Amino acid sequence: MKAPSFLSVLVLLLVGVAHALSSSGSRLLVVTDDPTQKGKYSKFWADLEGRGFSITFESPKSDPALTQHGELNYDHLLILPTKLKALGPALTPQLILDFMKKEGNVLLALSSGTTTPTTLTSLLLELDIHLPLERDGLVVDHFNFDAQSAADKHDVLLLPRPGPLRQGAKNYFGGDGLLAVPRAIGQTLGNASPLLAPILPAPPTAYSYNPSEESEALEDPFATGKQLSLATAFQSRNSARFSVLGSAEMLEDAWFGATVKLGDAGKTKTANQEFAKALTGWTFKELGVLKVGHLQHFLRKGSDSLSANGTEVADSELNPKIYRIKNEATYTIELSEYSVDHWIPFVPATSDSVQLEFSMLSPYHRLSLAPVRSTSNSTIYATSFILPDQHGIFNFRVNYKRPFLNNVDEKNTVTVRHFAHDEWPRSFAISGAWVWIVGIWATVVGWLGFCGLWLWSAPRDEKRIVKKRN
Amino acid sequence: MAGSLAGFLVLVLAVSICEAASILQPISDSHRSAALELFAPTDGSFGSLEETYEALRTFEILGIKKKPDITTGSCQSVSETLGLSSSTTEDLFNALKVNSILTCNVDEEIFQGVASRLKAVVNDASSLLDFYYSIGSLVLIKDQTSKVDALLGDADGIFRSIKALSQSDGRWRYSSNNPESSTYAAGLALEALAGVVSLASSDLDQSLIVTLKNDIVKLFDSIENYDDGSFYFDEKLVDAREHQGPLSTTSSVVQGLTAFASVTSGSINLPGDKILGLAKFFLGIGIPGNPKDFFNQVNSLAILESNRVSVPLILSLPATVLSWTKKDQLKVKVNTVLGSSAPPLTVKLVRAFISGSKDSSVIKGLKLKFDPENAVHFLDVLPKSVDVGSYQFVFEIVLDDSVDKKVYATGGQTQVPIFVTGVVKIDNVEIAIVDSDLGSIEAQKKLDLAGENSVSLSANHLQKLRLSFQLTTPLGSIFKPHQAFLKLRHETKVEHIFVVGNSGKQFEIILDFLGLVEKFFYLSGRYDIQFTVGDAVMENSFLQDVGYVELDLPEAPEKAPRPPLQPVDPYSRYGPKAEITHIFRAPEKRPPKELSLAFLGLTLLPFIGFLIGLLRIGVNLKSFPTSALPATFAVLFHLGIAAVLLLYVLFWLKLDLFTTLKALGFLGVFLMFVGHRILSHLASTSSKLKSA
Repeated sequence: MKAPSFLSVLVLLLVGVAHALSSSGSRLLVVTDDPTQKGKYSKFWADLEGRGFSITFESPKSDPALTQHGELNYDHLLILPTKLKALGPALTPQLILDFMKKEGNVLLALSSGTTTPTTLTSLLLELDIHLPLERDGLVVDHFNFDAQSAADKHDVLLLPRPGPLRQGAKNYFGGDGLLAVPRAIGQTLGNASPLLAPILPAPPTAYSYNPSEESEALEDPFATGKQLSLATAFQSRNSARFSVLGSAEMLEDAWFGATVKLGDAGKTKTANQEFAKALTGWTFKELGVLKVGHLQHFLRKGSDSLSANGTEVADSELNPKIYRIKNEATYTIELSEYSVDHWIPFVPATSDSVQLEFSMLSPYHRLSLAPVRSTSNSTIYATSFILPDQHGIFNFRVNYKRPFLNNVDEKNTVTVRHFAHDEWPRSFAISGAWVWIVGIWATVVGWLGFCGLWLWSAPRDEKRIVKKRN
Repeated sequence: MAGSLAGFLVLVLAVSICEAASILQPISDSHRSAALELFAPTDGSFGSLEETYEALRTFEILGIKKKPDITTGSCQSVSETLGLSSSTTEDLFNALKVNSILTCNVDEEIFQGVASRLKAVVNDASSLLDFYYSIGSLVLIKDQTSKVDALLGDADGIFRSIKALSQSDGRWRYSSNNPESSTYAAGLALEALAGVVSLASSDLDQSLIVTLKNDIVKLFDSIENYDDGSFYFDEKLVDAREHQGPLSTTSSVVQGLTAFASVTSGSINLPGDKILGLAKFFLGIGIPGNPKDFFNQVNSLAILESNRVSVPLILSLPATVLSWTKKDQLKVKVNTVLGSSAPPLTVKLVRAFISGSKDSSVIKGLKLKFDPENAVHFLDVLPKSVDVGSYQFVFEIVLDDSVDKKVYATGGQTQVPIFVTGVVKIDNVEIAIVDSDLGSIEAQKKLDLAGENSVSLSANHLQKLRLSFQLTTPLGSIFKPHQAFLKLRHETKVEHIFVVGNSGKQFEIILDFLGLVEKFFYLSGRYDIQFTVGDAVMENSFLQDVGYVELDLPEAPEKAPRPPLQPVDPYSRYGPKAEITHIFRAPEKRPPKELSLAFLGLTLLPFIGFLIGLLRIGVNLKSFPTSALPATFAVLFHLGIAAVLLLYVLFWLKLDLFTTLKALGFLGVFLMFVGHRILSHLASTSSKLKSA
């Protein structure tokens, strides 16, 4: 029994080493139908390989199997633009979605030059991402274009690296420098889906049109300005990631550090390489991955500090199954974030906080957790609170869902019982009862005293009474 | 239909193949800096000798002076490789190639030894690679030293045995027992055969060379092409193990072809446009990111530049965007692929037409002037007929010297898209509120788009908003921009974008608010107006906040659609939520302590009164028994009662009912006993008293 377990530990260790670089595996499948394409992206591949990915190139014609016997053959999938009309039976939208259901990550690069295969448009529709109807819209901007390479068509957009999606959201794609986005397909995102977030919104003056229309003036733009997203992130409920990049050319060697010129400003180098790193890093789960370590709740006694290391709270008292109403409980959760190749303490963006809900159907308490301690690769968040005066089955729930971070939803179910009969305050503790208590005892004592006296009291004037009788 | 399809194709090409063929640039400084980046030695060497050769050769072709100094280290490994008897032919070949550039000090004897070894290999060789490496090495030895005899005795025989591996379609097999034929191998074979020809001690059988030339023509039948006129070779059979990409395959064929052409007399009958197409293919790649591809590209281009079949000339334009305001000149450069100057020639502008309209030519038959100083062909001023817009210019290269026509491939006519940009004048910008029924103008404002504008208008749903403007090009004709948007943004950030259409002379948009109320979600209030005009050929594309219009729309009916969530809103769904703290039920109200104490005092009053009363009536304990036995029983009786009371207190404080009853049982029996005794004692004393 011992030898196999040792072996399996060894195997696990080896697997761990092999997957050390992305938090979810390093096998990357690149689907491209044109081998010459491969050479155009050599810096991009070198970057990925340098980060520990093992890349397999397959043509959609060779029907690469994403899964085998229900197990993933690859952890990540990258689809480059192809000239094919569809991607064949091995890469149907359903299969790609199944791949994501098994937590496979997908990066989809589109290009305005090549018509997007129907497979991909219907896959995107499933995710509520919409492409222009003609499947090859082109995004142009007559205000933010590269005067160096696209002075003629204005189809190489130059824009600063994106800021945070909103206040209090982590920004993994920001930084200095300009991004050159050549010949992009813009996407519009469905409003209803909370799983979608634009990574790179188009500038307000940009618009998308169908370049095959010959008319001089634009008649019906597909979308304009901020409606357009040049790169989009989708994170499913199981935290599988899917991103769409409207311009595959962005990843080409030619645009990594190419010099561009925006308007009358001087020439600058593009930051495409850094952006590509952030985009693949996010999509392939090197960034924005959260992990929950120890999760503890316990009855707080006295005014001891919020500690979760178990030194002040005995193990047997951790995570009890039952609490009483109005108990004071302490909840701690350990959160780590993956950063490229290791776990670091997780710190939420400013004006954001990790929240704990104590809920039965609806939350009775929703409290922000405060960081109390941090180790070399995790932060410990804690809070103490008084359980509500409602008995029932409650959950300690940390439901932390933020754009670009994987979903954390931790639920610990506990029973909250009522006061036991002997846990109520005694009558003598209540001043209003003193009257009654004293009344009773006065009666008791008085009665007993009277009895005693009645037994033993001799008449004061016995002789006189006797005389009177006589 | 056909026109739009053609236009579409042009666009697709322009987009996909790194700009269409016509805008290809010859090798330039960007290649040189890329080369220094790609071929950076680690620890003073490039790894293998093959990589060293590729680096050195690339630097040599590109004329890079500031190359890293690796001569000593490389020469050492060259002499080592040549000296070792265990080196394979491939190693020897690579070492000799490096030596051909570095010219290290290698002993004649070593060359002699190597040459004899190689000759033995050649005579016994059966596979194509053996032939290729050994013959290639012998050619290199022959070039590097004149003292060593590298010539082959039985050249005819060797030629035949290599030729035996060829296939009917012009491709080659790697060896006789490998049935798969390959285009890459064809290139190697041609180079090896060229080597045999140059090493032949006596003249070869001419018929062999003629058949080989036919093979080459056949091989070129299998050439593939992109729609932009670039040609390339690719392996038909994709063997995963030894697959060569189109770049290395084409490079191999080009090397073989040119090597063979340089050693044979007479011309090989190949069309010049295919050679030009090959050059376009190599240039079309741009700057490859890995050293191998880079070397293949640069080396092939260098070979094409000096080949004997035909030298491709590349027509390039420093700028395809000409500014009308800056009076840019149309400039055309003609160079060889490596960027060196071309023979005397004239560039003709055959015709020019507006993109998308095939028929109407704007310019016909113009000769460009030549500026020998900058080696640029140019057109002084653009003809008056060329206005702002996008055009297709068709150029033709005409060589001045008729002898050159055989040497150079010019590729006939080249079509280049040219964009003429300029400042477009915007006039008569008017914004007005018009009454629907009468068509009378309620409020009209003229806008001056050069300065700041802040128009404030107000309208209700029965009125219309009209915006009109005129755009004219520098030549005075009407200009139609690609982008003409009117944006209305409500205070709640709901945006509506309208495309401004044109009606012949002027642009006009009429917003009939009656028809738009539903689209506006019945949102009354202030709408900011933003006006955008943009086009690729417009130098003054502008975006301006014009002002606002105060809309008074009717109340929304019950079923009206609600304004959609704005793109910003959905992302706030995943944010921190408001904190909740449970509100506890308020504890029941209790009387203040003072009140309790007051009533406690009141409760105690009767007790105290009772005690005082007792004292007043003069109670005493005089009839307590004096004799020992009854006194003991009396004491025990009272102690028992005290014990019962204490038990009650304990029951109140901590004991449960069962323990209490048990104890009470014992105490009760005890009390019964002592109580009976004491009561009987009392009874007897009282009867004694009565009787007495």
